Amino acid sequence: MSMSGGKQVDMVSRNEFIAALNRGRVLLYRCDKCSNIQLATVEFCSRCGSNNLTVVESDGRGRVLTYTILHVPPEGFEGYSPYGWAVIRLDDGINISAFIDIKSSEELPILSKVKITGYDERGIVASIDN
Amino acid sequence: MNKVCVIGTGSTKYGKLNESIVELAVSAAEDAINTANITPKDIQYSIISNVFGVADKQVHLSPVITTNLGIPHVPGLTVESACGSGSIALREGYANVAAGFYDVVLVVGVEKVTHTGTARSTTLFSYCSDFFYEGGSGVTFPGLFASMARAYMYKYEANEEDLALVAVKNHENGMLNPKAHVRKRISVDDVLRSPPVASPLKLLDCCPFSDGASAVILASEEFAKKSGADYIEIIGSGRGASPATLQGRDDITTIPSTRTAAQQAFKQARIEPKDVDFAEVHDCFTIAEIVDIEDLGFFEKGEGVNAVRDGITRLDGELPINPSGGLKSKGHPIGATGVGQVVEVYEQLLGRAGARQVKNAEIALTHNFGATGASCAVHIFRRV
Repeated sequence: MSMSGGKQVDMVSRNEFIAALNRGRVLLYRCDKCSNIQLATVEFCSRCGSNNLTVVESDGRGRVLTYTILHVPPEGFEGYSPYGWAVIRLDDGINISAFIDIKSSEELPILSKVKITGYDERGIVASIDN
Repeated sequence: MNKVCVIGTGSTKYGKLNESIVELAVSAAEDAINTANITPKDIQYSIISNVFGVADKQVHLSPVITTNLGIPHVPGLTVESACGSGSIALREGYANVAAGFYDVVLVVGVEKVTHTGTARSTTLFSYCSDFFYEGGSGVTFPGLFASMARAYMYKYEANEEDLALVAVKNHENGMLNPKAHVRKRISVDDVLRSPPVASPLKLLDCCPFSDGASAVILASEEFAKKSGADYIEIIGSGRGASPATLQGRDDITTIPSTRTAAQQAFKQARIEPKDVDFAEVHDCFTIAEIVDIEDLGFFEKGEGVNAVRDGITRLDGELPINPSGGLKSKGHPIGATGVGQVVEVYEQLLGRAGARQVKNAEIALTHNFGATGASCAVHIFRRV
């Protein structure tokens, strides 16, 4: 199990979530009632509706479920184009999506290993996990 | 619930238009009022669907539009549900008439964005995603649907040529629609050779940014009969929702809200997918049309692509999809799209669709969603 931690809190703030991303970690909630795991930005258990949730940490490692290489960027991303964006299945079984710093669609087959590395002007950032 | 009818419709051309957002909306509304054989004084409530009014310096659209129609005392509501705003406005109008609150409701969808340019429009549209996870991490709507396309092609036997066939078909239909934005015949090679936008989607896999407005007049059956106008009946209305992010879905090759909304609408209409004569579906990108026709229940998962290959969804096929040209060719003024689909259905069911007329159409379906399907509404209509 790659998760660690176990602190019961009222609510994880977006800033705390981002601070964890910058440590390469993804904050998750584990439901005290039904053990469901979800991202710590969802404030009630999406399975049973409980708000008795405990924060646990994912180590940010996972695999690419699907991705795209963007050639027509939105404002603020012009300097990075082309770049990747992927939906990632963390090893903990939870999905997250992220900017991926790659230039060619050859570089990222589905099921490639990736790791969350931080949060900056590119949003949530992941890189290939060798 | 009371029966609800569509007694008149109107639409501007879709495209890069010079008129202001208010002029577009009023023009479409005027057409609908005239078609319905009513005067503005008959309207008791108005629902306006719009997303980026701020881009043309006008929000709070409902009172501005009613004032410019000479009915400033008619209350209204402005609806924003991203690209699904139009069908969701229709649903709210439907609910108000069905519940007996009003006998006559004006629904107008309008959008005016092309003057902002591609980069600004792309950015504005990305605000319709869950921005923290998606738009804020650099993904655009072409990128989100490209991610769905890649997942679909990985899971099922489909390739980029299959996606291109959807674009080719919808452009063929749009050639026959005088109000369509992109009236240009294209080939599979044209699509494959068009510039990459978000792999595996290319420029011709994507609908255009469009300006335009569409309007419908909804009425109780009693009023419809008295009006003397030709009318069609709404026999099913369904709503659905999906997680706002792709990451929140167990399966990225399906849109849950489409399935829920369709099931509700079919149940209410007491018909099955095989009873539908044609459908206007949300083809913002080529992959979307394939996913839609499966989720709506017309084809099994993974089979939508065969239906496209076999020509079943062509205008002369067994189940024409997007005879108007769809979002792909007719255009996608996002607030107007869901209302514009009803304009097409009204014209088709009354035999007024000219060169793109679907023969002997009696039952039609509209399907429109917001973002990657976070919001969705499906409606089913019957010729009376």
